[in-house]
Amino acid sequence: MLAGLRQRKLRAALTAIAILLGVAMVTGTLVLTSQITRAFDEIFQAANSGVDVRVSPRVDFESGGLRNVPTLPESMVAEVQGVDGVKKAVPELAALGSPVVNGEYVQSTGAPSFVFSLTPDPFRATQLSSGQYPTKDGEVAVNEGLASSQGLSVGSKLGVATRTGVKEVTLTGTVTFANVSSIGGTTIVIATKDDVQRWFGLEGRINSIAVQAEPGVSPAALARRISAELPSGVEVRTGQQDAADQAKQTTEAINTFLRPALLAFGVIALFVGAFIIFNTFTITVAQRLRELGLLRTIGASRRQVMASVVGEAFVIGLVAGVVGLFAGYGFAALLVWVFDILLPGGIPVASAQLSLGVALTALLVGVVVSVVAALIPAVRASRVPPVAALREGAEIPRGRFSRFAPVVSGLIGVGGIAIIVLALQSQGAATQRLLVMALGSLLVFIAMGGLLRYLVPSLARIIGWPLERTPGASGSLARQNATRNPARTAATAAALMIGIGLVAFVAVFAQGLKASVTGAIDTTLRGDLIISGKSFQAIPEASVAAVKTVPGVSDVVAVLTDPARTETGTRTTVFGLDPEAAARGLAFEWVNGSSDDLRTLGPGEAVIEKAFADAVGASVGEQVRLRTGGGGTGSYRVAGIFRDRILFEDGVIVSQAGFRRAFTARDPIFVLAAVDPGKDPVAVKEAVATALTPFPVAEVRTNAEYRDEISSRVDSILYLLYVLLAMSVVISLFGIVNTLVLSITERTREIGMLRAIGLTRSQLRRMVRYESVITSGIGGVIGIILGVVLAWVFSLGLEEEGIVFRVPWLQLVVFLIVAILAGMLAAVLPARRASKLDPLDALHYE
Amino acid sequence: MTNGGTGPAVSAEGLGRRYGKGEAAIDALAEVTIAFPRGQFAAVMGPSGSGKSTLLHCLAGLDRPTSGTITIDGTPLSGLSDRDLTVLRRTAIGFIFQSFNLLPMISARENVALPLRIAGEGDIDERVEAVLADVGLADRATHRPAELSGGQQQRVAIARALVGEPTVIFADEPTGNLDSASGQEILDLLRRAVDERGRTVVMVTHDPRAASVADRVVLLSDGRVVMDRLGMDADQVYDAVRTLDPA
Repeated sequence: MLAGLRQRKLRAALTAIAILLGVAMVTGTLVLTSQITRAFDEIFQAANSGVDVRVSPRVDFESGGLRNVPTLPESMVAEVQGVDGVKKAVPELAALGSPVVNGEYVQSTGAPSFVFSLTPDPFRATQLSSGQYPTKDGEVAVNEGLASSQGLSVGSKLGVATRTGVKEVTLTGTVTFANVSSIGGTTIVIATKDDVQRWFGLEGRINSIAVQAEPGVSPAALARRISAELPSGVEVRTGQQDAADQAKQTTEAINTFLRPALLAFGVIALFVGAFIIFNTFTITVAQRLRELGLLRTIGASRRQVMASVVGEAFVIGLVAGVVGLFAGYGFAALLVWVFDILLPGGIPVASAQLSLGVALTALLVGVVVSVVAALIPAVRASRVPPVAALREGAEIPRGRFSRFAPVVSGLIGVGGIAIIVLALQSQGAATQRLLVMALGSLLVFIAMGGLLRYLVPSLARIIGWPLERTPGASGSLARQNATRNPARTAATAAALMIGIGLVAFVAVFAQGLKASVTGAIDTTLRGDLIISGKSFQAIPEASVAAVKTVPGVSDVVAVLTDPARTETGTRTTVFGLDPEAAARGLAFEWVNGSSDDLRTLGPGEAVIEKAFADAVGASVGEQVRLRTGGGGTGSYRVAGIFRDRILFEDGVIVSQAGFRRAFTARDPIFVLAAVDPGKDPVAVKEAVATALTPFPVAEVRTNAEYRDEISSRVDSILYLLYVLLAMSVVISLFGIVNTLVLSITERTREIGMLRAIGLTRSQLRRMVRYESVITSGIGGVIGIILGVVLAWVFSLGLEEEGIVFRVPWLQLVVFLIVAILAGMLAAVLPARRASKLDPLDALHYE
Repeated sequence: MTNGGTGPAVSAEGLGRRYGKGEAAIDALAEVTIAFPRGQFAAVMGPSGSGKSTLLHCLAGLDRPTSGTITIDGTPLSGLSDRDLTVLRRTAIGFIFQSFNLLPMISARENVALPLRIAGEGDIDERVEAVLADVGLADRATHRPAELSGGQQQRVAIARALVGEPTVIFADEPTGNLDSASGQEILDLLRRAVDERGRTVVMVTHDPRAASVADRVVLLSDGRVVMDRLGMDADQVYDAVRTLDPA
């Protein structure tokens, strides 16, 4: 049977590619995510080199990263230094602050910009690559990547954007971050402790204490000793533990979000590939009836015939697994490249490694998908009767259950729809419901793949209509060829349907998301200007005062935010703002109460979002008790309930005074402002921008500009999804090529006859191209319809979340054109093969 | 262009077709010079490997001769591009194959219309219906090939060859897959195409009875014309063939 494999080299190669790409996506994901987690491991290991014990504030739950890091009193350093066994204890500070070079803010939209306080040996995570570490205030060292990309050298002047404005400093040296392969686009500025405290308003405060043990004292023992001396609310961990804990957080984020998300696309690609394997084997079994019949005549058992088909699938899967493994490294590199474009600065990535686990996964995935997809054709092959060897036009007897196939497909589809409907009506968490709905959608796709054959004739007639109107018979021949074996055309189109369907789905979904967010901005924000931080950073508190001084600006609402949890663990976000300005600047839909309740909000009161109110069962007049990430608590009487599923989703709004009672954030996450009537908004915006010059992290936008910004952020995620789904579309193209090549081989005689009676080569090529376009058009049209319908259903499920349903018609038209162009592309090779056929073949087959 | 000239419908001069190279080369045709006047029904006979099929393929422009010239309806084939050759086949030539070679997914009517549709001609319905009626299949027009008997399928093929009103019809063993009654119907139709429509028919056959329907019998052996006679009956043909192939 392996000889058979060699004979059909081209088909085998095309079939292998169908799974190879899916295998590459799966292995590429595993390779890439391990590259990222190892990079973070290296970073945290390096950051903790030389640290035996680290003392830091206790954090119950993450509270917004470095935006609002809890602090310790600086006096604690002396206490720690006094503990027996401590050789050296030094304060550490870390803040977010971008370098400013030649008045230009060095923006890294993806990676963070760190400002670290200088620590002495042996605590340094960095190594000098030129110059020296700062020795006095006003001096800094920066990472070498930043220096070289910005043309900085020792002695250069640069600025650092801080909470208190841009600080002029002198560069004394450049550093590398230990031996870490890459820190992505992260920038590092190292300054004296006093500078960092002044710049970020942390006088007398520090973030953590690094401790070196006396020789002979174990870090673990020292950590216990220090812990005993310090008050509760302080975390004392060994340097190793600390590094492991930090690395664990990122690893968890990658393993619970990035990896499964990317794997999902690999699974989709494999799913598409499986359709193609199934279809290819179905066609070849049908074409090899005589050969299989001959095997039976000379004594092969049904089992042996079946094994021969499965064996072929096994070899193809194995080849796809091996090649896919290596292609996976290419895919990982491709993803790094895409991330670099979408998130300037990129992500930290360690060098790629070959691991046995990944290699075995690749082989296993390739073989299992290939063999499973070939099972049904293999069973069918085993049913070929021996007499098929002798008879022209023998057919495989239908299986006992084959007449139930449409019923089964229908049931699967109904089941999928039922699952989606049940998920829609269930009260579970949104993410869980979405997962169940995704499962339902998968079933709907499978069912559609099975039922598509019954739609092929009419769809081909519709899509072929313009083609049949072209001169010559190519159009109608193409349509008739596409419909003569509806199951084959359906399976080929179904592969494309999945890819295009998902593309349409995410496009519609993203359109709804954009419409929801921009709609919320329009309805909720009465003001004209929105000031927000670059790279999701908070805006320095001092910038609020600067904005208020601009003439023509009123109703300035600075929004502070901190995550919080109720006693029972329900998550929420607390917003602190000026009630009077907010009552004018924000238009809420009130469920209970009115904007008057917001205007007169006292320090002990809160207005809460309806979903949060429902989650905790709170109503007006009751108390809501909240815990902060640092362990503090605050209690507020509910004064009103509003509905806002987008901007203040699940939120609790309190006054600034009330916020300060328990929460520690000082820098607003965004600031809203209105332009006085009669003033030119553009001119006022420019004036605000000028007033914000000392705070380059803050950006002012009109509402319209902010809407565009949100849209472009959604779009950049959308483009990433397109890239990932494009793989599935490419795979389905190979499926079309494969089907066409097989069909052409099958129709050699017909093609010869057509050439003999006057079909020119170009007409013949057009016939093949049109058949391809009809197939891809069916996949495209059904895919788009399915994608839009599913997106509509999902939007119903997310109505509560404020997601609306919007159809991006233009994009859908573009997708259809892409599908059609893809069909033309897929036809290039088969059309060329067909046109090379000798018309004599029509007569030679006697 | 069709039936326009006065010269022979098809002629070949010094026709040679060699397969392979060097020692192993085989001359399927050697120095064949022959002309088929308009309105003639010619049968080409000969034992297996005599070159009769190769002659047909070369005359029809499906195979390129290695030497010599072919002229169809006054047009020399040498020097024609693949496209021009295809257009010539479409306009001046009709084909009938041993195995009918109809498209299985379309009706008899659509099969007959195929050459006209490929040529992009309009107003074809009446012509198609007329030809279908002519071959006696007006009532089978909507049937697919699989729903027709072998004889009926070959009649559809004849209608397909006739519908473009070609100068010459090449038939390759048209009765080879048919029982004798059906075969006779086919031969009658070809005879009528010559007598009533003035077509030229060149038919390759190994059946002396089929050949006897023709006006002229050309006998090939080892790539050469060994006999070329007019007006033979079945017995004469049979004897002629037997002298060549004493099996």
